[in-house]
Amino acid sequence: MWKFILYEWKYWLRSPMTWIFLIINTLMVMGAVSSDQVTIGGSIGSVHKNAPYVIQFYYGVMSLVCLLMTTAFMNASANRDFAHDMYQLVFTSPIKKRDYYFGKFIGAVTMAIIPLLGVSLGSLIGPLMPWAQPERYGYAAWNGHLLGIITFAIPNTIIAAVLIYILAIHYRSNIVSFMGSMLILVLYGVSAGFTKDIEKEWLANLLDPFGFHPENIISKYMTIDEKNIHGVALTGAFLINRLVWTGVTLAILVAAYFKFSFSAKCTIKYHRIFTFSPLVPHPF
Amino acid sequence: MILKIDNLNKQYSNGVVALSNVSLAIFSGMFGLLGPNGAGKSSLMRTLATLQDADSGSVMLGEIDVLNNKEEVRKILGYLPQEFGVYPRTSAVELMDHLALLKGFIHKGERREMVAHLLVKANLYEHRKKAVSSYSGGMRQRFGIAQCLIGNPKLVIVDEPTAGLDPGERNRFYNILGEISENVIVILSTHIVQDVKELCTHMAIMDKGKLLFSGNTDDALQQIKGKVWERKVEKAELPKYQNEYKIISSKLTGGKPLIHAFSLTDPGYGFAKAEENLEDVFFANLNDLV
Repeated sequence: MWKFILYEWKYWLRSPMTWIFLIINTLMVMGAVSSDQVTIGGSIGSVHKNAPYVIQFYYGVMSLVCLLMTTAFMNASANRDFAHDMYQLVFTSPIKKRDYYFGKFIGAVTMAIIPLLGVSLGSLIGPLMPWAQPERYGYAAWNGHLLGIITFAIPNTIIAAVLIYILAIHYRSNIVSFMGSMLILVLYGVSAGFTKDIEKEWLANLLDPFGFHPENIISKYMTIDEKNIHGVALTGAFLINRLVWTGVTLAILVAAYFKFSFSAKCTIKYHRIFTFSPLVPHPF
Repeated sequence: MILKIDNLNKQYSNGVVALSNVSLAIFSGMFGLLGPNGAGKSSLMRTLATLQDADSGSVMLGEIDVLNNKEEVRKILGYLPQEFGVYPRTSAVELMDHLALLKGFIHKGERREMVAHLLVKANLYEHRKKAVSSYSGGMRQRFGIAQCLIGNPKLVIVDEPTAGLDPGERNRFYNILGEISENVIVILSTHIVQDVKELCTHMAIMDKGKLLFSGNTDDALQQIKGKVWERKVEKAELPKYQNEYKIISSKLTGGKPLIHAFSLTDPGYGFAKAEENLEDVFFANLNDLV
């Protein structure tokens, strides 16, 4: 399996796409952290602009914003052998289906998290900008970065990546993959509207696949001082939500593995012409 | 090692019969599979290369059941598909290294040595650091044969390798192919009669999924010995000849059609005995004359 994971890593670390995405995210978050003109996911009020709570929240919002970036990674990795017509060479090698399927997934999903690290970079660079007002910042605290990565970046990327990977490897079409990711965003928006009114809090907490609802509930009663020092701890409903959704999607990934086959969708193209063509193709 | 194909059948979901009761024994050495486009050559090759399943029949490579024990076959298989692409921005060395890794060569040093050796063999060593996607058609096919030889395969399948190559490149390709050890089964599918004539001792002719002939090339020529007659005709006369004689082929020489007719006896009428060649065998078989 390592040969597939390493190949994806090598491929994406050398690809300009990874670094351009990282720069885009860094610039966006840097803008939000250093000025009031740029906001991500709404105004943050009078909390420090680089408070752990804020950084964790940015990780959450950006993990949604990055859905299309995740799609680009997963779609390209899943389809590379077909898009470049290499599958015949790859599939006639003595490789294991399991290694291929999960190796590519693990390789691509780990790389798809890299652009999100722009949140950390941006919030570290932001306060250093000449136009930034020093009184709006606290110390750079690591807990916000860590919590953001563990509670939002990793699980949300995995959740989106599984769905896109399955679509991509099954349909082998860029359009289906990107439509799929748009659909996830739209459905998420719609369902958020419905679950808002659910009175049973545990259900509402559970039904948000990207984890904002429990994060919101827990942080509702945090004071400004608390938000400046702590992020939203990964406990209780928040922890359950993250575990359930990551677990469910990983189970879907395993289920889809059994439907995946090397020999699906074989096409032969006949478009070569005869090198000598008789004037009478079929004399009799 | 012997590759034994027994009653192989394959029908595609759109109703096209790609293989119909194909039975064939292939021994070590170069074997030519001749047939027009759409004859089922590629279907047969892809089945042998474990890329697609047959509906019924069996294929045994020595002791290995090809249709059911694909992984064992893949360990000793070299396959050059009719068309293949490569990853972008990837040099020949990197791509070969990756493919060798997939073939199961985990040792880095061993891999590097083998890749270098094969690239020298394919005359690509000086271009090894260039992206394969920027290669010319001939270089690309030579890369194809190099990757096909990774790990000393016992069964080498090359599907229409010389289509689109200029004569010089074709010769270079033949030379590399000719150097493959004699103990290896090499199956070369092509619609170019010349390829088979120059490389193969044994051959088969396929059309519309059926096997029309199999045997050695001398036997093939024996089939039509003394039965092929040729004559230069005017273009306008061509339909008349088509009606009156069993025309095997007709091609332009110096702007005029030169027709080959099949006849057990001298047809007279200005026909002269033609030197029989595999092209005539090919067309005589396609047209059900022998």
